[in-house]
Amino acid sequence: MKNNGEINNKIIPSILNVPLPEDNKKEYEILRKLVEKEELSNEEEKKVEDMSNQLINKLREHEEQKSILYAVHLIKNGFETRKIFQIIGWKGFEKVTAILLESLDANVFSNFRFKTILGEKREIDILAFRRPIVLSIDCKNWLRKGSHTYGLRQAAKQHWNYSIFFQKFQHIHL
Amino acid sequence: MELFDIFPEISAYTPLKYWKKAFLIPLVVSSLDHDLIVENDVLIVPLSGLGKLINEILSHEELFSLKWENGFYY
Repeated sequence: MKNNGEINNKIIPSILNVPLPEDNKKEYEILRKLVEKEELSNEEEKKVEDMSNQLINKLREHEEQKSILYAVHLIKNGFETRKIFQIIGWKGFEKVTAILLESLDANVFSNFRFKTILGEKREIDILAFRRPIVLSIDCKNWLRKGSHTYGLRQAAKQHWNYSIFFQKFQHIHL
Repeated sequence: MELFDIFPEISAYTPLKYWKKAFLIPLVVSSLDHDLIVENDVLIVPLSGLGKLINEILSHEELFSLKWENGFYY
């Protein structure tokens, strides 16, 4: 379990209000106590890993909306994001991103579709408005290991073009 | 809802170059673990750093100090 909870507590305060699913509270407390120990034996480390995986795998058991909220809670509490993103998929990743933005007091619109002047259809994953800024967001839930920079840079270039089209899109209906 | 309901000072007749360039920020949010990357004026940020980045942007008030006057930002 990776401890990035402190950072998240600072930047996404309202996520703290997402309730922990009742049926996992007991396991969660056991895990928390183990992680808070200064040193773990090999056996305890194995137990932490197994319990973390079990809790993450419970994402598969929930219906979609509950699963997304549960994923947000796990992320906030420092669980390994790679496994979480693998289970919730690209669509879930977009929803988690949207929830995090809403928790930052942004007005969020997902899957914003529009046409360019030439009539070509374009879509932006998320538009987030928080005065005075407008965030035009492309979500990339990539799970592969190794070099990813090239792919992300290519995605950024395309997203720049889409954002320019959006800039030129005068009458915006959300 | 229309965009201009959220930003009432911006009208549909405002030349876009006066406001959108100043405030539209293209981002790629990634599921991977990496530092902030800047490519072609697009910020590439891991999800875990998104909130911090937004707060950082908003903390630079000088970026948004343009004055709204007679239908234009100056």
